[in-house]
Amino acid sequence: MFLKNAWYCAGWDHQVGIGRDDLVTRRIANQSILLYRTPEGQVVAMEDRCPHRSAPLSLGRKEGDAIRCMYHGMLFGADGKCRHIPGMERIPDNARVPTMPVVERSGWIWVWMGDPAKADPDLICYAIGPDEPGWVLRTNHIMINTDYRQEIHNLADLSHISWVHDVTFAGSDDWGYIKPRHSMTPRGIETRYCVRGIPAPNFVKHLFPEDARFDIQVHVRLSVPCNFILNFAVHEAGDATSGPTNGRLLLDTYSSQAVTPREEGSVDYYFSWGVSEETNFPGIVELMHRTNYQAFLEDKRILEGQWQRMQEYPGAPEIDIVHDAGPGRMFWVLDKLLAEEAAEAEAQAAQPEAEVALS
Amino acid sequence: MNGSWIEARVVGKQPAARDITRLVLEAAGGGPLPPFAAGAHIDIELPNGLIRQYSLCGSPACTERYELGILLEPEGRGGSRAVHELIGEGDRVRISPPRNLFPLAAEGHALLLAGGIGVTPILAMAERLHLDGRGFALHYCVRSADRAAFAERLAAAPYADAVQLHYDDRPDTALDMAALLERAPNDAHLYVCGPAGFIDFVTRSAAERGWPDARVHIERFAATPEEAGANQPFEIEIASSGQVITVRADQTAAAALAEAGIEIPLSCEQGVCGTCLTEVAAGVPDHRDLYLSADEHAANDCFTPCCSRALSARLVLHI
Repeated sequence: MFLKNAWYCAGWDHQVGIGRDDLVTRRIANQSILLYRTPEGQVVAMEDRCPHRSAPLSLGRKEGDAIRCMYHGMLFGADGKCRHIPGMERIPDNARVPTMPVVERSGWIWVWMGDPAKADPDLICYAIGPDEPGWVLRTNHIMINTDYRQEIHNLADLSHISWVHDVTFAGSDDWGYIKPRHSMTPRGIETRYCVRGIPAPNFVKHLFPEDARFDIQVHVRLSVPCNFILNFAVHEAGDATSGPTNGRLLLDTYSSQAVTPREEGSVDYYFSWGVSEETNFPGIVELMHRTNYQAFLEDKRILEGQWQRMQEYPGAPEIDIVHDAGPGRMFWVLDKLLAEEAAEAEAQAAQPEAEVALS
Repeated sequence: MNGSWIEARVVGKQPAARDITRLVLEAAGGGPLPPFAAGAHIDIELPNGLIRQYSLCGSPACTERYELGILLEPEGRGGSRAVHELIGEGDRVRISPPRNLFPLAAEGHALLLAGGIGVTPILAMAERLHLDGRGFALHYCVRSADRAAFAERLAAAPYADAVQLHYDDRPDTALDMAALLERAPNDAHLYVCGPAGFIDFVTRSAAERGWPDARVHIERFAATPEEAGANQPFEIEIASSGQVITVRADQTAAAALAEAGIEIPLSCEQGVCGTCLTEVAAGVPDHRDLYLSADEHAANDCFTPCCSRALSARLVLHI
């Protein structure tokens, strides 16, 4: 089940160009979406399906701000309304393609999949984009054959770093012993904690003496459907035993990650990672970029294996453990919003037919 | 979790004591069931769709049938009620192969301590120890004689001399934990199964006498309110508003809060996952979860309202 009234990330802004052939297709929450840029630069999102005989509009041709279906030549404006049907003088009212509100922010393209009247840009999650002053970030994209709910399990519980990311982000089993407190936000959870006195992660271990110890200050903002904004700051190990670290800041990093469900069992994953200009040093951003991709392939391997088992054992009981508080809270928010939408849809369906016909 | 379900048939269902049913299962297609070690349990899929874990209480030497003892928990979530009310002789049920989280140590004298329905894995252990000719003593604590399931079987067992029953309503039979632990041989292992309070009492007594954890083995039931009627009502005060909410004996703190319009995020509802963790400003919680560590319990600055209650008359919460 997918939320309708939510902003879904449809990719990095540079993925939708202004060229003649830049007709980008996305699968978002069970719907096929066409993205293109108008001559003014505005991104248009519309159903990738001609209302005549369901031909993909992404196989069509850009004409100014409009798109022509290359099956029977129907021309649709950026508002989805049909402007021209070759050989037919008067255009039927229902010759229109559904369009979706679009906002570009923090380097991402956001598409609202629900009621356009409710598309409030303030609901778009906070993120640090690749053009944010003071930051040096690299972007990337991966597809994973798992459900977005399993991605929530993965991202709301970072204890998996010690195990899944054994050769990249982990340097010890310390992540397996953290027990963070998660606070609720209107559309997700927010979590701050410090992992203290741990060895360097394996991918940078060669840069430090063996006995070097670090404090990692973590700040996670996770929001529906599955957007994960992470401030991950590496400090020299301090001597504080609670609260924030008091060790010297070595590397301040930000990672903005948007997981967009394509359909059940498959997601697009858009992510960035990088450092603040103050803590940047030669070679580090490239190393982080490469390692991040390697680490996400590690996630992909376990998540796709997990999803395969879930298909083989449908409905098999699963147990909870101490690391499930984050996912538990996130699902509580998501499922509440899903239930509200279902109730609304039911109430609408129960309306007298005449009223529906009028609207 | 369960690789392969086994089709089983209920071949016996009899009362074993007040509120306790004895269930006997055989392989639906005939033939032996997978062998099990003493202390093992199985999952059973109940007619109402719930899946529950119950210990195997028959002799581990017998693979012809599995035997279970199940306590009716009227305030539970419907698992035990389904067994008592919906399952009958001749019915087919699906079960998992046995799993053992409560195995006997390879050697050493065994002190077996059972509280109430916690006797089930302990029975299988006694059978195994007897068959292997190992020394053991079984202490079985129950609220009253009519609740002592399998008492007749124990009285007739060849190892009856090693069994002692303790009744809460008969002080002359009280278990002297201190004496028991002090008299135990040096190589003795302690095996405890029962309600959380019973396990806590036994493990605390052992810890006070310096028993190493490696020689103390426990099997907890899911951390649901285990003893209907034992719960006391208490009050919750919301620190920010001063609102006072009464938690009835028959409901959880989270349910009482929900009734008052205060929704707490819930997930496992068994005190395992910590999703409902709530800050405590004042008062002493009665911690019944597995999420918090002993130190975190002792700090009393948070609790899990899905299953934990209060030792003080009122808890003040930051929500």
